[in-house]
Amino acid sequence: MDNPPNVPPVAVNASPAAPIADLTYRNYTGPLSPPAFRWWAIAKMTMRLGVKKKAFWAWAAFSAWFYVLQLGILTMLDQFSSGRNREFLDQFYRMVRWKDLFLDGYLSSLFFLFLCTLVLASGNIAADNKANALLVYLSKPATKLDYLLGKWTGFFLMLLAVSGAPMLLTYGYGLMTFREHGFLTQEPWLVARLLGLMVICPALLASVGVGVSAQFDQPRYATAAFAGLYFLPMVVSYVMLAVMRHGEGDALPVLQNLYYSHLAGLEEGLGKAILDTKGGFARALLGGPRNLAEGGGGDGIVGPPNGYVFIVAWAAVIAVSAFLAWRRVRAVEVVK
Amino acid sequence: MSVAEIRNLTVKYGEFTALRDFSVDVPEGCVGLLGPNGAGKTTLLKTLLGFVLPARGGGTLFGHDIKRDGRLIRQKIGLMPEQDCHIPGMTAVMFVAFAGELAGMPKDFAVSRAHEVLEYCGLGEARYRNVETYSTGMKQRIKLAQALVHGPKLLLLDEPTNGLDPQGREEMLELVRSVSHGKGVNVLVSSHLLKDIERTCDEVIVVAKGALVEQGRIETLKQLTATPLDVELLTPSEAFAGRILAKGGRIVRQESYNYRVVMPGDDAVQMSRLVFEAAVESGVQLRGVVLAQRSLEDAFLEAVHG
Repeated sequence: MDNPPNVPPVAVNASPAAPIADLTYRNYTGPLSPPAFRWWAIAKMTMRLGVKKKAFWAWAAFSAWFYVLQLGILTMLDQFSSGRNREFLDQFYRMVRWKDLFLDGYLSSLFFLFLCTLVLASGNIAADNKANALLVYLSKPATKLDYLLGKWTGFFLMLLAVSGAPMLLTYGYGLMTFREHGFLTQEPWLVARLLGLMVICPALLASVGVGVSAQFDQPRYATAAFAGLYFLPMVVSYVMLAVMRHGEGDALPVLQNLYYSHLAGLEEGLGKAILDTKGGFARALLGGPRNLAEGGGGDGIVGPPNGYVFIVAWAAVIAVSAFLAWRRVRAVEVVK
Repeated sequence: MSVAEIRNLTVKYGEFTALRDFSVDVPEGCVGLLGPNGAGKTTLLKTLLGFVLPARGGGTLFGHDIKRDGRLIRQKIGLMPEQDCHIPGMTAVMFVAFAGELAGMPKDFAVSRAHEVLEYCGLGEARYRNVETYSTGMKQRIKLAQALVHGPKLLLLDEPTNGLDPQGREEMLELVRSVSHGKGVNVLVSSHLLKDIERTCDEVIVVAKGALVEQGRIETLKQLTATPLDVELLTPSEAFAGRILAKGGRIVRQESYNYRVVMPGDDAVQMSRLVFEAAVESGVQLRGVVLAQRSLEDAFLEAVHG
């Protein structure tokens, strides 16, 4: 049927290149939430970009290796022991301090958590600085606090997952498998200690990562600076440990604490303080000369430091990192 | 109605005063912010956004105090900065949608709107590419897209044609012109390119040495105070020039058959009548008479240098 007069048969505004699309500009009139809590949007996006990095998944998987190894050996011993071996195993279980298992797993994951931070956080804000991304973030209704808190939360939650998941899974496995061997009765509040333990490393690394990264506008420099900050004091403290070992132990009490005077040392010291043990479970399990009943340890392992002092030191490092990041981050360079 | 009202604004960077006792009303529509380098244009934009705090004075933007209500103001503003900016590791859709989320859009709306705005800005084909791989022209477009995504009431464009080739420049100016006319978006374009301002804006604010030196509609600024007339004849004529002088006028400039004349009086119709009479009396064919205008560049230079 013909069209009535004066009515065009097709829409006249359609572009010949895209006959269906309406390419004229229309302003957005939909909902807008009040300008608050933008940090959570930033945290979610930080995590979304973080999980795309394959290296993160690789290091995250490796970080659980010691938990898996310890549980594997225990399970195999349990499965294949019988008769006289069984008596030996029961005697072994009576000497076991279960929290040592967690400390060893935790200490073994520290290096991998550092690598995860290297991948996720150490160059992140530097890359933002390089790309002038702050102009995008801060020209929207987000503040500097939203930006830093969002970045920090994103890194923290991802590192917390890496740190906490193997710990809690191991705890759950232990609870189901080794309850008759004192897993629960030996340390009823172990789970609470673990909850504290799993936060230490992610909070520290996320903060230092943000603090260091914010100082640079080249991600590679920021990453190098973060790695240097992690390793150089560690080397110094290990040299001090060597001095300590060759000196008279009691004559060098200050050096005993200085052994922890680096980022990984702080994490290690706080881990030992929270669990109140030196660790050494795994080494004993693997045949090392350890007195399990005395809490592992042995020659060369520095004992738990004063937890309160270390909590203050830990909080101070976080606060200094946050301050440095706060001082440096801004949308535009203002020359004063 | 004014979009922004700035009153006695003084902004300092240490000892250096970038804006001194600056007062202006930014009207609705598309407004150009003109001024030589270091005049204080970008400082004014930064102050509106809350990036720098004024030492004295203040103002309002859509009724919100620029010192107190930074978040509310930034929700109503879209900024297209002068320098390249993006968030590393994102595709264009992800970047623009995230910009929308930051502005307060629900995620679903932000994603859908990101597609729409990218299409509008001419990046539809490249929307799934990482922004870091974009050319300069595409980066300019995506800056516009992220500024537009949440439907701002005021768009701040800082040198929008920076680094663009002639065709890209034309397309960008067309986008700006199209957004700023009849779409409910007010635009403040800061540029040192007078032609860009002339192409896109209806009104200009001229800033120099941290102070407002001129403000008004572009046509008004281009008008000359003595109101000369531009006259076009069919052929050059000495008799016509003689008749103009006889009627009390003077020839300001002559280029072949084009004359710029100043006639006595201040009534344009009366002055034109005298020109017509001079043409009739000298027997030359008159092709056109219009009120003379100066270029925006002349107006700008006169405003800045006095």
